[in-house]
Amino acid sequence: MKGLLLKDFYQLIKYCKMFFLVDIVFMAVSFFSEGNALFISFPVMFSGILPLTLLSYDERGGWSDYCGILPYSEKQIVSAKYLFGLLSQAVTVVVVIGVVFIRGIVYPNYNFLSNLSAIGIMFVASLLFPALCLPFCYKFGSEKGRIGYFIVIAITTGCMPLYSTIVEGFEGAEAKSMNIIFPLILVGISALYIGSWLISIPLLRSVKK
Amino acid sequence: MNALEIKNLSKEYPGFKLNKISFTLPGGCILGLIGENGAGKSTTIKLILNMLRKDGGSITVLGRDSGADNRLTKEEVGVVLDEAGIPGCLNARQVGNIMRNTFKNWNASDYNGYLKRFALPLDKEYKDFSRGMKMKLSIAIAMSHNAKLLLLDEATSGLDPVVRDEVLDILNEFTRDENHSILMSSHIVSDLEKLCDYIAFLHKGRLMLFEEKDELLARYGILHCTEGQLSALSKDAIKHKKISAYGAEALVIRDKIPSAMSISPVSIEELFVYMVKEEAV
Repeated sequence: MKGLLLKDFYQLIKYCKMFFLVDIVFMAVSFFSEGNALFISFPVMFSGILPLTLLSYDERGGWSDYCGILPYSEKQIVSAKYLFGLLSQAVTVVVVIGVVFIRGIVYPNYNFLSNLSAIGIMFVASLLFPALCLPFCYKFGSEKGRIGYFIVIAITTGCMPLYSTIVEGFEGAEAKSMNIIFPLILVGISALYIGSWLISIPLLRSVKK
Repeated sequence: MNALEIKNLSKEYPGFKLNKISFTLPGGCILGLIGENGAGKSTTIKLILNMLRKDGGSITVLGRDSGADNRLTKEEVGVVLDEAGIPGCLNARQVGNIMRNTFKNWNASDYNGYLKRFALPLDKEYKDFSRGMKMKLSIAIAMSHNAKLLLLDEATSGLDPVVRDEVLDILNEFTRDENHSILMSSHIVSDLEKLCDYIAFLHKGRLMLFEEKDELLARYGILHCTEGQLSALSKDAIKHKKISAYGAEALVIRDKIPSAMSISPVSIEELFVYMVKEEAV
């Protein structure tokens, strides 16, 4: 599976230069604008789309078919994409947290905890993209699989009022409520990510003609 | 041990049917799979690799059923497909790194040796390679992980005659080891004629013939005569015939023709064309 991860890494470096540039701009804007939480957490959100982008390149370039001659099982092919997604998100989170800490050193009055919670929420939300879209992409191809993207948008938007209601339910204790709700959401979405991975394996097998 | 055993293999698509084909590739031999475009050559190779789901029959590769988890088999099978799906942004060095982390028996010095032999640049991106260069890179990959069986689908197409000859030499070297075998599909029949021990003709999904090449060439010949002379011959002796205003030309079985008649040798290409195109008796 190392070969598959390495292939994705080479493609990421080559094809996603614009993605890195946008990330740097967003982090810089946040750094110099009183630690804007939205800007600092967007790179994390973007990183969630990477596995889908790479899968799309695999299909268009014929790698998905070429894999059939290599000693990889469908389980390894799918697992590599999910693992690469997690690794790229983890690296982005580490870099973004690093920026937040440096800002905390440069500007001692800066409350970086609020930025950290925004990053945490965005990390969890960004797991939704591959979790919901990848099974569609493996079954129907990345073009049709983009329908999953709209489902994610709909679910995320639909859950916002629910999430606000729950948070508001914890009277005046926002930080405390976050401490309870965030881990629950993290566990739920992690379970969804694992479930998505497990579903994608038979879905990839089923598309063999 | 047979490198490949195929029994009653069938596969149906809309408009195409691979019709219960059976053949065997003994260890240490080269089998040429000949057929026109759309005859079923690539389908057969993809079925062997379990890239397609077969409708019926059985495939045994290097003694293992190809339908099971075939990662171990793929470690020992080198493949060159008509269209390799190597990402366009990768160069030969990066492809080597990926394959080193893919195949347990990857031999980096063999790979670098082939790159040098084929004059392939290490840092040029794959998308900038010519078709011939792409094919050479695929061959270098297939030959660099100690494969016991090579499956080559139109591997010599797109190569200039000099490189093609060099590739054929490499393939010949490969089969000097009696445990090494090659299944090679091509519509460049002359390449197969130079190289192969066995020939299989596929036509519209049917296996028309599977025999040892030397036996085929010894058994069949081309007879040029008049239409009258041809009609006097036993029908069993004539496999195919072509009659024109200038006389008759027929593919015949040498043993069944009177020794007084002069028979020219037949090439595999002529045999193939006769079997596919000409009027069956």
